Order: sequence, then C-alpha cells, then structure tokens
Amino acid sequence: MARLALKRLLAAIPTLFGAIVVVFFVVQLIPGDPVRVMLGENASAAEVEEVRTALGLNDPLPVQFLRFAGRYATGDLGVSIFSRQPVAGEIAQRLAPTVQLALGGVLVAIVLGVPMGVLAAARRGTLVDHLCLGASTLGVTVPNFLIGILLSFAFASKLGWFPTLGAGTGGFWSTLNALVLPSLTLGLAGMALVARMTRSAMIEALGEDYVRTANAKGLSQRRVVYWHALRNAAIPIVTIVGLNFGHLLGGTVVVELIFARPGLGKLLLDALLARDYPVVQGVCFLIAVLFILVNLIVDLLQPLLDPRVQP
Amino acid sequence: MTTPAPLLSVRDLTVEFRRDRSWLRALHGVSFDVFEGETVGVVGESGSGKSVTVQSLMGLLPARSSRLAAGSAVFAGRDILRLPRRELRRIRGKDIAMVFQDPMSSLNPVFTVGYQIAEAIREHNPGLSRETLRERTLAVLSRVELPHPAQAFSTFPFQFSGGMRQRAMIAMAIANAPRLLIADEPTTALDVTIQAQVMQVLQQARGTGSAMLLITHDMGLVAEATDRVIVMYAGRVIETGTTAEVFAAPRHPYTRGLLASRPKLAAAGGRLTPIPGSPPNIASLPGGCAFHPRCALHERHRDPICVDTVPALLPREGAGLVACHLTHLLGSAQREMETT
Amino acid sequence: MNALAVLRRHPSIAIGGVIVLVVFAAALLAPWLSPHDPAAQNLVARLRPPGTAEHLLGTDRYGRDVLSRVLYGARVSLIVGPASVLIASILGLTLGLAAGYVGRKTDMLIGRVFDVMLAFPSILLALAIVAALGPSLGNMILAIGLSMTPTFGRVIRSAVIGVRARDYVASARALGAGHLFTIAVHVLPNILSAVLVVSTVAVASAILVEATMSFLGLGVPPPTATWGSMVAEGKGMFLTAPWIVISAGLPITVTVFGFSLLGDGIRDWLDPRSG
Repeated sequence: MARLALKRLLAAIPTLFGAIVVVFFVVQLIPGDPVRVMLGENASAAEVEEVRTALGLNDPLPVQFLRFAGRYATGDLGVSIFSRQPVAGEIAQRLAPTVQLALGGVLVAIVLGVPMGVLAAARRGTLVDHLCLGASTLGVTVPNFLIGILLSFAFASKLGWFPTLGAGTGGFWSTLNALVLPSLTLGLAGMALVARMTRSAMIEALGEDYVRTANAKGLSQRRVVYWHALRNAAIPIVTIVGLNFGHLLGGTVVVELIFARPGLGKLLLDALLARDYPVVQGVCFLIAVLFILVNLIVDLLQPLLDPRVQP
Repeated sequence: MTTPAPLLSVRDLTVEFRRDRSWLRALHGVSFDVFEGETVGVVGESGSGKSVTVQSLMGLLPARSSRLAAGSAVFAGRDILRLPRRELRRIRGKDIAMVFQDPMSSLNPVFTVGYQIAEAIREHNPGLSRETLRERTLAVLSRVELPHPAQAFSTFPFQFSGGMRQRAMIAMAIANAPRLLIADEPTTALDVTIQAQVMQVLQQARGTGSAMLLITHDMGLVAEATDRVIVMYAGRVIETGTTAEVFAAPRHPYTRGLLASRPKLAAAGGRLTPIPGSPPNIASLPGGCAFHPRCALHERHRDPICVDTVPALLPREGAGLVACHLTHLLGSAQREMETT
Repeated sequence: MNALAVLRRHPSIAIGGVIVLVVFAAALLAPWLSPHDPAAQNLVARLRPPGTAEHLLGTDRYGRDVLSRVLYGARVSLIVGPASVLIASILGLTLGLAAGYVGRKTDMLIGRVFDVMLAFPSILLALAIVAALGPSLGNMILAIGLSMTPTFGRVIRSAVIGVRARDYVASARALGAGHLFTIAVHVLPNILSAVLVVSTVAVASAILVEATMSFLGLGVPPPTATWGSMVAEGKGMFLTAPWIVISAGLPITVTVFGFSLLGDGIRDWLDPRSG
C-alpha cells in the first residue's frame, strides 16, 4: 500500500509541473502589456514600471518561468494585486467553505445517484427505469445556476428552511444548514452522472455469472443486488466520481456566487472580474492540485475495492 | 413391482424466450424423472435445451425475457416451478444446488472463496456462530481436496487455478448436503488434464446421499459417471434409458450419431463419423421431427411422416423411451457402422 | 435503411433534431420574429409581467422586451456552441491523430498534455482564458474550444488506435501507401462517426459553459443579449419578476436537452452496442 502510494505520488509530479506551466502561460495570453491591463489606463508610467520590476516581467520568458515554477514549488503563490496580501494566505482563508461544499456535492451525487442507478438497473425497461433516466437527463441539462436560483427561491425565500446567503454564522449546525442548498445545487449534475454510470455498471454486473451463482445459493434478491452486484459495480463508479470531481470544483464558482459563500470559487470569480491574475493563477493551480489529489485517493482505493488490482 | 416416488419429476416442461415482439419456444414439453441417489446424464449439442431445462428448474432464467408456458417439476412433493420466490429461495442452495460451467466467471471476483462458501452455509443455517461457520467451511473445503483449506479460505478466486476454482465451486454446492446436485458442464471449461480429477472430486464429495443431474456433451463422461441418460435435441427429449442400454443399443439415429462421433469408440475400431449439418436455430425449427434434415435414416427412406409429424416419445425395446418414427428400421449399432 | 426508418427506430434523433431545428430557426429569424429591438429601453414599461400582446414574455427592469432578448440570445448560444466545437474538433483531430497514429513518444507527450489540461475543470480553463484575452464573442469561442480539446483528442486517439490495428490499414501500408494517404483514405473515414457523436454532445456542454460564463459576467459583454446574462440580471428580482429568469433559463435547458438527445440518438444509431 505504501509503495503504491509512493509510486502514484511520483507519477503525479509531472502533472503538477504541467499545471504550473498552464497557469504560467495563461497570463502570457494577455494581449499587450499585462501590467497595463491589470492596473488600468489611469496608472502612471512609474507605477507600471514598478509592478513590471516587482513581477520580474522585464526578464526573458524562460527565466520568468523558472522563477515562477520555483516560487510555486515552494508554496509561494505570489501577492494579490488588489489586496496586496499573499495569495496562499487568501486561499487558506477561503479553503474551508469550498472543501465543505465539494464534499457536500459529492455526498449528494453519491447518496442520490447510486440508489437511483441501482433501482433503474434492477427494474430495467420499466417505468421506474424511465423515470430515473429522465431525472438524470434533467440533472445534466438544467444549468446549475438555474437549479441554484430555483432551490434558493423555494426552500430559502418561500419556505425559509435554509439561509439564502452565506456559509452560516459559525457552529456546526449553522454551517451544516447553510450547506444543504449549495450542496444540492452542486451535486445534482453529479448525481445524474453517477446514476447513469451506476445503472450501466449494475446492468453489466447483474448479467454476470456470479450473480446467477448467488441466486442459485438461495440468497435474497436484496443481497444479490446490493451486495454481490453493487460491490462489483462500485469499482467503475468510484473511478467516475473521481474523474468528475473537477467538474464539481468548477461548479463551486457558480454555487458560491448564488449563495454568496465566501469560498475559493467566489475568490476566483472576483479575481477574474478584477483581473487579479496572481490570485487567478493561484486558485486555478490549487483546484488542479485538489483534482490530482482526489484521483490519487481514488487510485489508492482501487486495491481495496478490487482484489485483482495488486497493491 | 413397486417403484419409489421420484425425487424430481419433470412433466411437460415448456419454456419460451422473447425475441423482439414474439415468443420463441426453447423447450417443447420436456419430461423426465430423477430418483434418490442416482446420477442422470443429460446430453445434446449446444442449443438442444439442456441448460435451459436445469436453469428453469432453479428459477434462474431471466424473468423478463423468458416464461414458463406449461409444465410442472415436482421436487420432494412440491412443484418448484410455481413456488413463491421466498419458498424457492429456501430450496435453492440447500435441497437443490448447482455447479456451473465456468468457475472463473461464476465465482464473485471481489469476495474470498471462504466467504462465498460460508455465505451459502449461513443463508440456510441462520444463527450459526462465526467459529462454527468457519469450521464447517473448512470441512467442506477439505472434502473437495483443496490443499491447505485454511489458506484457501482467504484466497480470492483469481488467485486459484481453473481446477481449484471448480473445486471451490463444488464445495459451495455441496456445503448444505443437497438432495439434488445439478452440474452444468462442470468440466468443459477446464484443462483436459484435470477434467477427470475434478469429476472424481465431484463424485466423491457429493457422497451417496444426493442425486445428480449431469449436463454434458461429453459422451465419455456420461458412460463413466451416469446411471441413466436423457438425450435432448432441439428442445425435446428424444431418447432415454439406462446408460448401459442406450450405449449398447441406441434407438435414435441422433443418439447413434453422438456415439459414433466419440473419439473413444472410433479408436476402438470404427471411423470417427461426425453428424452432418449443425443444430437447428430455435427460431426456425424444421417441421415434423426436428432432426430429419440431418438424419441418415430419413435420407435413406424418405418417409414423409418424418417431415409432417413430431414423433412421440414411446417405449423402446429394452427399458427406456425413444422418439423416432423409423426406429424399427434402425439396425444394431454394429451393423450400421459396417455399412457406412 | 432510409432516413424515415432511422427516425422511427431512433425517436431521440427526431425529437432532438426538431428541438435543435426550432432553436436554429429562432436564432436565424430573430430580426423578423422579434416584436421589439432587444436593446431598446423603455423606462415607462419596466418589469411588465408576461401575457400582454405588446410584451408576450414581459419586460426587464430597463423595460426591454424579454421575448426579443430571448430570441436574440439564441444567436449567441448557437454561434458559440457549434463554433467552439469546431475549434475543439479540429485541434482534437490533429492531436488525436498524431497521438493515435504516430504512437510511442508523441502519444505519451500528447497524453501528458491532455492529462494536465484535464486537471483543470473545463469551465475554469475557459474562464481563465477569457479573463486573459478579454471578453468578446471570438475569445469566448476560442476559450471554450481550447478547454474542450482534450476530451475530443482522447476520444479520437482511441478511435484511431482501434482503426490502425485493423488489417486493411496494415495492408495499405505494406502496399506502399504513404502516411498521409493512409490517414486520409483509411483512418479518417472510419473515425468520423466517433467525431460526429462527440461533437453533437459537446455542443450541448459548450452551450452550457457559454451560458454559465455569461451568467458569471464573463461572457459576451452587454448590451448583447445572452441567455446566461439574462438569468444573472433576473436573479435578484426572482421574487418579484420570476419571468425573466424562467424565460431565459428554459431555452438553455431545452436547447441543451435537444443537443444531448440528438447526440445520444446518433450514438445509438451508429453504434448499437453502446446503448
């Protein structure tokens, strides 16, 4: 297990390096003088020159990149143009609400998606199956900002069950309460995906010979479906959840805007609108790191789920 | 003469499968008996309906795409084709157990061998303690002669060889000492060199208490292992009798063809003669006797009855039954071989 | 098999196709269908509820006609969706062909690049690119196209590998056919169905990404009407004027639904096993 973890960790390093390259080059796309764009037309030449020197933009590109990569490798993500605070610090402050939201979204996707997919597969071709498929199609076609607005209207504004805005006033229950609607908004698209994946994985598993064996043993239908078949279907389901974690993180930008949650997505959006590139770079990099991390965990889960995968 | 009541009595079993919008008949009124303690072979080419027969007895056919059109199967006094699911579950794996063809795909890859056997025992013996369950599982594992039962207990199927997997499969089937063991091509998927070993384990491990229904297309295996034999073709029983009699004097041209295509018999003197043609598709069965397009006897005599009328299963000379209009024209096996 | 038989066997192609056609027609005919200029403000007729002959879908807070804005909004979605997919498919085809056909180091290198790009959620990549280049229709198409390239590239790569392994490609090469000839005659025609299926489904997600970016305020800048920006404008007034959000949100959903239905149907039609 430890050896596998180490192997996967080493394999992730080139991807991390690649992420730094991408983040670096996105800023190179800025047409004209990036500092002018950042500071606006009203900035004086001296101000521009000051920022240029501070950012090292007068050096040749490879030198700039090496310096940039070196900073990122040591955890220095630069300084925000507007708040003048270190980007790493800003991110650290905003990390918790986003991680809670992402976990909530994954939970919604799994807790709703898996039973839906299992039910659809077990009742394949029936009305239940069609309803589940229809619901999952809806989940991927309705944009999440629309879902967010509608949920917020129905359950926060009208019924008043949950707060419309913010991440709670501190404390466990308040945080949890403020997390319900955002998690639902974020998780519904994931739910649709998980349901579809579960359905096809379960249909495949239920057609396998070992399911026939389990039936021949006299096991109950519930045990055959939810234990023998689902235990096998879990292998592709977990993989697909990992691969779609990125989508989920992308969705936090929208959800945090709608519910005014002070998280990374909100930080990123504000930075994007204000063209605060160091913050944009930092948050994008961190999200890539989170994605890589989650897929590392999924890889490490594989031998636990499937004994045929040698640790 | 008093005959004891059979353990399993299948009558007029008729099963249909859905294809697109219509139902195709896979079994046309199959009837046979299995008595306490005996071994009955069911033989036929692939598509003859032998696997469908046993799977319908176990209720293992896909519920949506298959249906029971007629028939009954009385096991120990109850019609198992019409039992409620819950009742059937109590019989499956306890009174009737099954060994499948491919032990690789028939064992669940994510559970250990020991777990899967213990699960079969626990399902029918609720309330056993963990220790007793483990002991009984280990005992079953040693009955199928798996070396190091304790080690085998915590092994995953993929870590086993094909022969060991099939032993594990047999262990799971005999775990609850079933009265009827159904073995569906138990050695077909295995390496030729270990087929005999596994068959021997199957025979010994089930003991004398249980009857066995052995599905196979290997006539050699039938000769060695069975008391009686049922020959199937295109969803019908076409000949039955004691193995000794059927092998000595087959009364159906198809049975004779099966025996003639056995390498062993050929080596003993005659030529290896395959049956011409291939088994018919159930979607387009020939009229009359389904075998007539491939039948040497029909080719020679051209009797229109073979094309028009389905032959009934009638008593044959000696004990047993045969379904052939022209069986009286069939000479002894020996003579037939000389003429070809 | 004639077209009618295909449509009867695969009703999702028919339903999806009709939806897509209707939306296309609305976009194309927007200048003639729209009762008003989509940008014309009318401060005396602000936030009029829908249902009047004058403003069938009501007006927004500047008194602009919602129906006209919805019709014109279709233009942005239906330009950005297909155009960005075109960019993604051209780039993806080039990279996927290179990876799948040349193989070895090229394959590994391109695979790495895809891995890295996929580590960023596609919406983030598109947002970051637009933020760098500046918001405009062209940049938005470029950004979404770039962000979807790895998905295309991967599908095309595996399709190419599947085709390359077939005998006729090997024999064409053995008979002395050049690489470009082999690709053009033997490889490309055989992966086109895969490209077609991915493209149709990708238009749906591109439209969703476009709407999301517009909603976030990083799409085609105002005063151009886009469905996403209309939802964003109506969001704060949902309690008092829900028709703005609904009138703009519904077309997004229906259009995305239409394209994904069409894509699913085409996939079932071309590759019945995967259904």
